[in-house]
Amino acid sequence: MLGRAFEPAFLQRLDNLVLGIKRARTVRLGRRALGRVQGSGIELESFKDYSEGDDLRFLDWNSMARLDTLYTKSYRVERETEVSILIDASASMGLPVKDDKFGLARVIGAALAYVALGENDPVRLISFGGPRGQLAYRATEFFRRRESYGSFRPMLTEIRCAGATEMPFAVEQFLNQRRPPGVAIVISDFLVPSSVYKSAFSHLMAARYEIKAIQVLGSREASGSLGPGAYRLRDCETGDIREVTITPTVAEACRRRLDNLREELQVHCAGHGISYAAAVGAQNLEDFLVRELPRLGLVR
Amino acid sequence: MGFLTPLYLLSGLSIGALILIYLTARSRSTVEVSSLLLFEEAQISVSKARFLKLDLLFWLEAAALLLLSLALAGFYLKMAPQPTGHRRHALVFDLAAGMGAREGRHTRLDEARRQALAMVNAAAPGERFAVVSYAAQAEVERYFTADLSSVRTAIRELRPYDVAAAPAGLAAALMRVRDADQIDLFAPRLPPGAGSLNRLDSARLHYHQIGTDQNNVAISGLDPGVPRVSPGHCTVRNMSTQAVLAEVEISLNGRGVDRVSMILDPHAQANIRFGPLPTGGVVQALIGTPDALAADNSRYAFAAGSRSLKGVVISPDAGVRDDLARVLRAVDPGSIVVAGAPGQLTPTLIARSLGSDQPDIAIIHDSPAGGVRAGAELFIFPPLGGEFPIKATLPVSQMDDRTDLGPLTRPLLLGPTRNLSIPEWMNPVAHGTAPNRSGLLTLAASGVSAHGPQGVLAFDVRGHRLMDPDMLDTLVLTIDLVKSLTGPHEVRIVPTGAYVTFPAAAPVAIIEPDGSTVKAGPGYGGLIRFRPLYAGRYQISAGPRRETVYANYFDAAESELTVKPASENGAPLSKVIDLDSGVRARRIQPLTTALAALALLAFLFESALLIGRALRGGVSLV
Repeated sequence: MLGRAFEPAFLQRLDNLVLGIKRARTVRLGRRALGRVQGSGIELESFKDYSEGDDLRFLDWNSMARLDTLYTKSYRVERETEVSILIDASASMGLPVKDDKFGLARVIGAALAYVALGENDPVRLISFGGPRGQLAYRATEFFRRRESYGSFRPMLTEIRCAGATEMPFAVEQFLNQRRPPGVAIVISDFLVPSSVYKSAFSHLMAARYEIKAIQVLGSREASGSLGPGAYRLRDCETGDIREVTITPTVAEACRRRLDNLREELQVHCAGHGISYAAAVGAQNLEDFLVRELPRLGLVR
Repeated sequence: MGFLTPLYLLSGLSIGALILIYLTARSRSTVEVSSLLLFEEAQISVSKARFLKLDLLFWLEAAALLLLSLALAGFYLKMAPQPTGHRRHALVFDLAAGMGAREGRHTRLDEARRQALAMVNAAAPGERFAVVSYAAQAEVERYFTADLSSVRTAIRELRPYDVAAAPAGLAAALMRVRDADQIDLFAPRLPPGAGSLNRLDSARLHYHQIGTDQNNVAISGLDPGVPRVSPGHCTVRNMSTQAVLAEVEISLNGRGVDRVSMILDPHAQANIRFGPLPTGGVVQALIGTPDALAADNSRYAFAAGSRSLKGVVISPDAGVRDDLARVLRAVDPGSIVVAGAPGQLTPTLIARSLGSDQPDIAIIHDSPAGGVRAGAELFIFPPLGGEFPIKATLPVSQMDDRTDLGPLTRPLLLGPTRNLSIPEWMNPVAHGTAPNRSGLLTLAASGVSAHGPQGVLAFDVRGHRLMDPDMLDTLVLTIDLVKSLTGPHEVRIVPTGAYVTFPAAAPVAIIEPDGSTVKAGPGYGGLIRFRPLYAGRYQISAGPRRETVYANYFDAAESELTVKPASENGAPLSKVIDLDSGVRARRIQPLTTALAALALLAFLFESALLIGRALRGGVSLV
């Protein structure tokens, strides 16, 4: 499935999308530039009548010579928002196997990276989780141009889903790099106790990151992959065992439980200004990227 | 509780198959899921491993199979007897010699009768009584009847025998009345090995110990000696805890020979020497002083006359021939003995040597009879294919007791021994045991067949075993057998309780010591077999033929008239008989139908559960 992320036709549909970043209304000196403010940019934004006190460096001398009127040029400010896309590579992303949640997560991550690169923002991919004994946190360098998009491919190809969902650990590693705050897109199934992602989100918000949470679920996630019958279920991350007899009642209870988990995450995101989107099943990938994400404002 | 057809318990193996199926089903395949959070609402606890799971269906099936297995095996319970409305009361009397002991003007049996009659007189309406007696064996005088007059008659007609009580007799008596609601046992003591009744006193069995301590003197042995050759000996024992005066009179053929008075210390024994007797005949020793038990105050013995015993000894072993010839000379110093190897002695040679057509006795050791006929025959270590069927030849055996004298002072180790099938007309004389062989071994037996008196010794006497001082009992046994075989046919001395056989073609009249006459007819093999139960003289009349049997009684335990508490009598009675095994005492109630019904119920309940599951979750869950 990952191959789709590098298909020209697929990328062509993403060309027109722009990452929906909430711009700051004001810029404080000494702080990073966010928002359209007058500044020392190179892209002309508009003209306005000269007012006393305006910087004479922005006076349009050509207009004054031709029209004998003083106009001041305003430029779009130089801005650079770092986009970090964190992909959950824990074991739960590999299950159910047929759903290929991890493939879906990688494609979404790659697609969003491609979209972000369209704005020349620095973009990097980060994976967390992985086989025991290996690095649970892995990141690419920042890329700023779409021509560099192919540089994400080796990492996306190499990462494997295994181990536990170490989201707080990944966030801690991420913040330890002391980068200027930007956009953090967390792609995960979020099938962890809510305290786990709440803790991670709170750290990111404290560091003034704009968070976008994308929940990737399989269409067989709940009990869809298990027909009626008796099973011994093993949690792929904790190893806990539970013997369950799946009946329609139990299956319905499981679906209800999944809905509750999703709703809890959604409510938490809404309450903390975190953009949330859920991708259920790989078959709706393009709809999700082209229609669902713009609808939710994650992209425009 | 028990099983009518225990073999069907094998069907219980089906439970094992069920457990196997259950365990196989339990070993459900492990499925990895992304998170157990999704299954929290399944309301099932999480654990690393569980070995026991309460599965109602499994337990229902297991219970149903178990119930069916028990039903197939015929499981039953022993239930309390259904009330019949009539109480069954058994009166068991010891009729051994000790019950005949006099205590003042009455005997112990009189006291037992008095107590029993009091019970009968106080009987509740409808109460049924049984009267059972035992001594050497059990006898039902009256089975449960409500006719109290016949019960009283049966009690009054009880007479003590001059024999010792046997544990088997008591066991048999209790077995006969095991279905009684109450058993009253009247006895001065329990037979050796019967033991205490303390545990059972609280149950249905009530033991009434009869009698008080009494003095008794008994004649325990009488050896007439050899007339005009060796003196005789009479052994007198004081069975009391006090010194007593005893006056003993020895008579020969009814004429007094000697009279001795003595004072015997408590539990002392004295030997009275008399004679040698002037002639042969029946010798009687009689205690003249009165004591509690009269049966052991008289004893008979037979002294062979002065005739020269003519004997033939046949053996392939020269040493054995020599030893057996010495035995015959010991029995009768004037005897004439011809000895030889098998085949050496022809009837003509024997007749010429002995001066008689027929010898008095032929002792044949490890050889066929070879046509030799004698007045009596003693076979020693008979060969295969000879007169007696041989089951096996044992390399070693041990003689433990003699039926007439009781247990030996110490077991006697014997050499090679034939395990013989003793004919019915023979009475065992000595018993023993053999290694790796259960049950008693008959080592010596004697009896009277149609050919005359015959005896057999099953053990080999090679290697001068008869002359070995350490094996004196074998010599005594052999001499006693020879004496009994060569004694006069018309006079026999036997212990009371022993079987006496004699050939007869027609019914005979037997006059007992008290003068009563009983009739007896010939049985298997044309032999009459009877058992003298009273000490004294029995006269048997078979047409013109007359025989006299003298029965001697002595039993050290029975003649001891000191009353001991029941608790000192040894092993518990429960080892003798299990009263709870009675048919009526415990009614067998088969539970087949109930068990099958319960199994069916379990199956129905299981089916209902499965239907419920199917309705709720589909057939795939069933």
